[in-house]
Amino acid sequence: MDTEKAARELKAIRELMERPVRYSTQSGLSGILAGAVALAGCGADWAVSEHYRQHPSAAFWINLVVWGVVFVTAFASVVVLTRLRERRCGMPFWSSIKRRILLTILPPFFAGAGLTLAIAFRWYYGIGPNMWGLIPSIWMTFYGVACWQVGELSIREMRVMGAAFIASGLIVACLLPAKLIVAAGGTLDYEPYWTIGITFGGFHLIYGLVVWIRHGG
Amino acid sequence: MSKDKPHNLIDETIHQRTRLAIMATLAPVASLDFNELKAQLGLTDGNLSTHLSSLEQAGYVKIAKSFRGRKPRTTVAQTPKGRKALSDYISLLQGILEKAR
Repeated sequence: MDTEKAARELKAIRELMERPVRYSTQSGLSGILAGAVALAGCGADWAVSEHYRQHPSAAFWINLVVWGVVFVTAFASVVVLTRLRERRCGMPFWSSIKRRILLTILPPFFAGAGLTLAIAFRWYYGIGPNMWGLIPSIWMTFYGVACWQVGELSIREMRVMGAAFIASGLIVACLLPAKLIVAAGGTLDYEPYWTIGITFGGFHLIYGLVVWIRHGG
Repeated sequence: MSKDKPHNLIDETIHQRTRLAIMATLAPVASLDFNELKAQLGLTDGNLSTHLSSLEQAGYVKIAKSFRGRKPRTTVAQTPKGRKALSDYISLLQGILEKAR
């Protein structure tokens, strides 16, 4: 084989390998774990906030750590379980499509985190009205966008979950669930925990089950 | 001596243009639907099936037939042996280019 042909073949191979074919090694179990971790985080957040009722700023920092741990744990479990699945298929860890997925989720992640911090600072420095109530909506909508984007490059089920998160985020932002709770005679104190628990906890559990049944753990 | 010449080490199974494209397309994913593979490469049913048979016989791909509800579904996955074969083939090509430098 001459060098020109070898070079052409290598180029063709590389282009074929870089084509955006769907990334299909997601694990259903990771979705279930993420849901469980989110529910645990909800519980911890509630417990901390109850315990530190008199010191909202202490509660804020501790809860920040709680949700940070939730996020890192959930993300790590997805990475580990997906990697285990890849190894069984003999796939390499790094691929161009993985890089694309990572690049796709960075913007909504930073946007959501940034807005959360902005709201926290406004509250901390007493600027403008208290906007804590918007934080669950912010997390849900941006997370939904990120999921939708990953769904475009990976399994289709993520698009459904992404849409569900976006819709939930907007519904919660309009205070619909809050109105229902008040109309039913309840208090608003625990409404954020319900919404985060049902979405981040519930949606992930459902998604994980569906993916497990369809694609295996 | 002639055994070590690069062109004697070329894997004839992978070396064919269509089969090479199939292997390269399967490399970055765990598996692909038969129809997805067909669409990606612009092949006919018969053409793809023929080449997949060769690759399957060489142990480079695994073909699984299942049902999604009532629709039959065929998925194709590269085997570890196939991944290694592709990776060796790529190294071989790179070796040829290196020698020319």
